[in-house]
Order: sequence, then C-alpha cells, then structure tokens
Amino acid sequence: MSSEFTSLPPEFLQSHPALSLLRLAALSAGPDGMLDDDTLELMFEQVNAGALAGLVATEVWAELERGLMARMPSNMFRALYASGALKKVLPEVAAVFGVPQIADDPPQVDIGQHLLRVLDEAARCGAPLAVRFAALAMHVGKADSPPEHLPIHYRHVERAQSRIEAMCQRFGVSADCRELALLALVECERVHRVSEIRAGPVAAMLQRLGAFDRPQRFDQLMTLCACDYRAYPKRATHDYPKAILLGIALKACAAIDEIGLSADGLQEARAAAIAVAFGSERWSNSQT
Amino acid sequence: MTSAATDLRNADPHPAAQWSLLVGFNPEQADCTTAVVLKILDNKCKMLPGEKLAVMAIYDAVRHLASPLFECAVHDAIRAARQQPGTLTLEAVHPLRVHAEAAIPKPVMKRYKAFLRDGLFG
Repeated sequence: MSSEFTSLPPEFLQSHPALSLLRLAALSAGPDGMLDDDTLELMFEQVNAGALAGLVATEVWAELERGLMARMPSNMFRALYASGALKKVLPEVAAVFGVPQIADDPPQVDIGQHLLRVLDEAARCGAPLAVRFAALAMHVGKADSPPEHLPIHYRHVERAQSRIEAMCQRFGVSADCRELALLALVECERVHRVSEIRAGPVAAMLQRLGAFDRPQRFDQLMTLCACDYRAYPKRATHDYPKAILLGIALKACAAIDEIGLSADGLQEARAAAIAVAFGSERWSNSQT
Repeated sequence: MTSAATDLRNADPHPAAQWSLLVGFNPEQADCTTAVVLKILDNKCKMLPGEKLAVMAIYDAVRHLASPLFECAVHDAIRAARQQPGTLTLEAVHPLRVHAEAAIPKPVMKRYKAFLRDGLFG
C-alpha cells in the first residue's frame, strides 16, 4: 500500500512507533484498502516487541475513531487483529473473534467477522460515530459465554454493561456513543424480534427507544439494527422489515392528539393507534 | 423483604411460592421459571397439573428477579394469558415461548429442573 493518503512522515514513524502502527491500521480503512503482508508482519513484530506499551488510551481512541469513520473500518480491525494489536488496545473486542452465534443460513456465524460486516455496512450507510461504536461494543459480553452454552449467549447483556462502561471511560468516549451502545446492547435483539402481534408492547418499545422524545437517537438505533440485520449472510440487499414495522407504528402515533392525556392514557392511545395501523385492533394491551 | 414476599405472606401463599422465597431464587432460576410458565401457557409442558400450579405460584413470587432477557412485555403477555386464556392471548405467548427456549441454554434449564426436582418435587 503506497499512497499519499496512507503514507506517514518518517520522523513521525521514528518518534511515535506505537501511534504509527495504529495510524497505519486506521489509514488502511481508507480508500486504498488493506495493508500488505510485509507491513502486517512488521506490525506484528513491533507489537510483540512491546511497541504499544505505555500508549495513552485517548491517543489510541483518536486512531480508532479515524478508522471507524473511514470507508472500510473492517480493514483497520483486520490489521489490528492480524498484528496482535487488537488484543492490546481493545481486548474486549478481540475476544469475540472465533466465538459463534446463532444465524439463519448458515446456522452460525463468527461474531468477530459479523461485527466487521456490520461496521462496513454502517460505513456504507454513512452512519455517525455513535452507531459505529455501538456496533463495535454491543457483543463484548459474548466473549466468555460458557462453552457448553454456545452458540447461545445467555445473560451477555449483564456481562457487557460493565465492559462497555469501562471502554468508554478508558477512551473518553462521548456520552452519546456510550448511551447508544448501552441502548443497543439491551434493545437490538428485541427490535429484531418485534412483531405486529401485540400493539401494546410495540408502543412500549417505541417509548423505551426514545422514538417520541429523542428521534435522532431512535434513528441511530434503527440504523444500527438495520446494519446488523444486513450483515448476516444473504441479507446484504434486503430492506430491514422491523424498521418498516416500527416506522408504521411511529407514523400512527404521530396522529394522536396528546393534549390532556395522562402518561398511561397516552400509551393506551398509542397502542390503539398502532393496533389500527397494523390491522390488528384486538391486540392492543387494553383489549387482551 | 420484597413486595412479592409481602404479598405472598399476606395472601396465604402456595407452599411452592413460600419455598422459593425461603431458598432465594437467583436471576437464572427466575428466567427458567418464566420460560417454564411460557411453556405451560403454550401447552408444551409435560409436568403434572399440580407441578404446573406450583411453578405458576413460584413465578408470581420471583418474576421480579428475572434478567433483562425478559422485558415487561413478556410478563404482560403472561398476565394477559392467565387472566383471559383464549386463542388470541395464547397465540401471543407462542413466539415468546419459542424465544425463551432458544435464549436459555439447555444446561441452564437442565440445572433448573434438577433444582426444582431436588428441592420441591423430590
């Protein structure tokens, strides 16, 4: 790889070998693509020699952010993984490579490889940093699921919460990144499972996701869920059906006159409006 | 004492519920209880009628301990299916039961059944 975009000044290489290593990885996520084997070998030797020791976490994050926001974030993480640097700078994420989880066809996927596809899909969509960080962070509780449980990751949410908090604190990640990552951790799988069968839970989900009072965050979560969905094999060109479903529900709720309604009354009204929009009036919470 | 515990003591509770409070369920056992209740409501449980009643009573005592695996909607659906059992409410339980069975690893459920067998049904 040799282009103006990826080249580093020699003095930078000499004075900041650790940062250079990370910068090279980050730049490989740009237009010129993956690093060659010789460069990766050199990086591997530097990591083994302890080049990353003593690196300040906020400096690491600056490079990770650079790669995350580039066109092919997966290239950066492949380079970091191959050189052994990922284990040093993001051990929580490195640990999910090689861990299986349930999919449709094939029935299992490697979480690490899936995560890379989610990141590239997020980049393709022009997703903001918060979405890409959440994609990176939301599987970290699956690294140490008991082997006899695999490919199920029972209670990974509880395991991940403290790890995400620690990652955010270590890198000084912004509050919006942290919030979206924690929200995605709990809600992404639930969004994948949402159905029109009962309108009450759909109304409650929209409320939990901030669809009514934090529309930007809701949109970001939908982007993440859609990227996660399309990252599974054979779905790359599919529309995300749950975003369509929640979009219909949200539109139905927008028509409600909220004046004079209590919080409970508003939720009832939303459930009823969603039930009508789904053509399943009997399924609102109040009519069970 | 939890509010569930208070309610049960005030309402002459089922012995199984008393037992569950005595031994102190953890979130894993509360999740498994929720999953078994979903199986019962979805007519997929092979327990004896008395055992099903016992698990239902335990559920009432420990459901507040369940992990984030089961959001409020699950407990709402269970409540609806128990209050007004009918095609519509029971249909809503089916996908939740399928999800619960997929989300709880078999060794966890096996451990829970042994725990029930040893502590309650033994």
